[in-house]
Amino acid sequence: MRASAAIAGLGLTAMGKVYGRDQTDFAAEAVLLALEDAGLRKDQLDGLLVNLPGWAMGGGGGVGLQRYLGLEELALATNMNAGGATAGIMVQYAALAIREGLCRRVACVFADAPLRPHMSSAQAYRFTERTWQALQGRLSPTLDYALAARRHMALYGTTSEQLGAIAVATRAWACLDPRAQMRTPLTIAEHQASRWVIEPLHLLDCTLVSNGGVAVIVTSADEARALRQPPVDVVGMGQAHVGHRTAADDESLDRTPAARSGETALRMAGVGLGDLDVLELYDAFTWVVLAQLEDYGFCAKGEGGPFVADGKLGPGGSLPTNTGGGQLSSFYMWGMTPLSEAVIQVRGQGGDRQVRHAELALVSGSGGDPPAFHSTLILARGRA
Amino acid sequence: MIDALRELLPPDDEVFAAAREGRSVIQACRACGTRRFPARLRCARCGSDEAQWVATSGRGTVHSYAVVHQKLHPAFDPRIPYVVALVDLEEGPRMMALMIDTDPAAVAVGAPVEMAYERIDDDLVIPRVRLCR
Repeated sequence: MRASAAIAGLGLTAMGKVYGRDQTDFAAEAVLLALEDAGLRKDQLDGLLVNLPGWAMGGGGGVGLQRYLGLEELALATNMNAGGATAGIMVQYAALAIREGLCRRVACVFADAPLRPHMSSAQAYRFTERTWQALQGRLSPTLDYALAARRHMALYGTTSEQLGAIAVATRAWACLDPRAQMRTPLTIAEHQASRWVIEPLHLLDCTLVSNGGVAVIVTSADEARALRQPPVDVVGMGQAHVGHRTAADDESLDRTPAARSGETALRMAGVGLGDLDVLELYDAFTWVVLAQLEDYGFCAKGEGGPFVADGKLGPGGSLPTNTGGGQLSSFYMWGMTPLSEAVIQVRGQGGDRQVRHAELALVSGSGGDPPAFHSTLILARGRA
Repeated sequence: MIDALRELLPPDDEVFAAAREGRSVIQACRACGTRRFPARLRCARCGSDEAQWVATSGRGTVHSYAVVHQKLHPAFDPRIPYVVALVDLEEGPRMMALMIDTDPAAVAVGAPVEMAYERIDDDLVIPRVRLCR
């Protein structure tokens, strides 16, 4: 099936402990970098999709992004938020709108600036509203993932060392990525020795926190072939949402909604799991990677621990996953972390970490605490 | 710690009134009978906005649990390491609750628990859980 849309531009700002700029400014720079990457002028953009935590299109602390960027008239514009699933959902919405002729060139952007100087990363995402859950000690999203991981361990015998294998493989990829925030190699023993955050999760089971922004430009597949970069066709799209608010409402705490999300995307693309060359999976926690591998069907439910323990996810392994170092070791830009790396790999621009023959990539996005919203994209190297 | 705890208090309702008397209650939909926790205005199953409070046995089992080591709020920092559990109540709903009077090493998925009441002062009693003895 010929793709109706492609990713033609990618922009990433400086990432991590970058201070003195707000979310809107990171978003603007990301869009400008993506336009330059594509070889497009700002006035050629007619769509803007925004995933800025806590922000609204026209206000929320000042000038909306459209006006901050000086974009005069847009045919498509909205704020979207399904947590980490949003990056994939934005690309899907852009692709469908382009296919229907509503617009031609859509920027999809995520940015956040949760880190302040002299503040711990943990403080960046804490919950302080008056809720039953906060009163009972649920003060960060990590708690729900710890509950999910513990349940998985109790049901299936998954071990902390097996989660550590994911952290170790991801770090090995990060060591090959100049942009990654964490670039020293990691061993399972070091993972085990890292301090507890919320048992059974160690520090090295949890994502980094980063200030920064990432944007992609989505165009028609035809137009992408005429622009500056190798086109990355969007050949498969899927979503699945179960919508719970906290772990208490999650009827299936041992899994994510990836199964249905993946099935839809793979069917649309006309490919199977075995056709994929590279996986970029949402990895805010090692457990989420493990659960998605099971839920997508790479192994049976409950078998994720033994499946990852042999290191197949890392460089030189049979299932290259999170090849830029993921959210665990590279940078945390919600769903734009796996999406940006997939674009780089499919273009063949991965440098030292380039996976050979990376022509077909699966990108996942997972939102909610614990996972409640899910998106899947299948991206393919565009042919003439 | 007590003042900090008050910063996290949701609006007072029957759950806290019952706790002051050492009882536990949950909401039940008047139309279809579905039990739910925490309180909400509308039944997720049938859409009715009529509800009543029903007594619970106070017993349940651990669906999952986590041990917190992160310093995130003065109401909880002195308690580190503390256990937050998801409890399957006998009556059906799943409740998130801080475990008190419990050694974290003794907790396991499937363990039986019972309601406990943390008395802050004459006006404030907070429902918690603990392992059954």
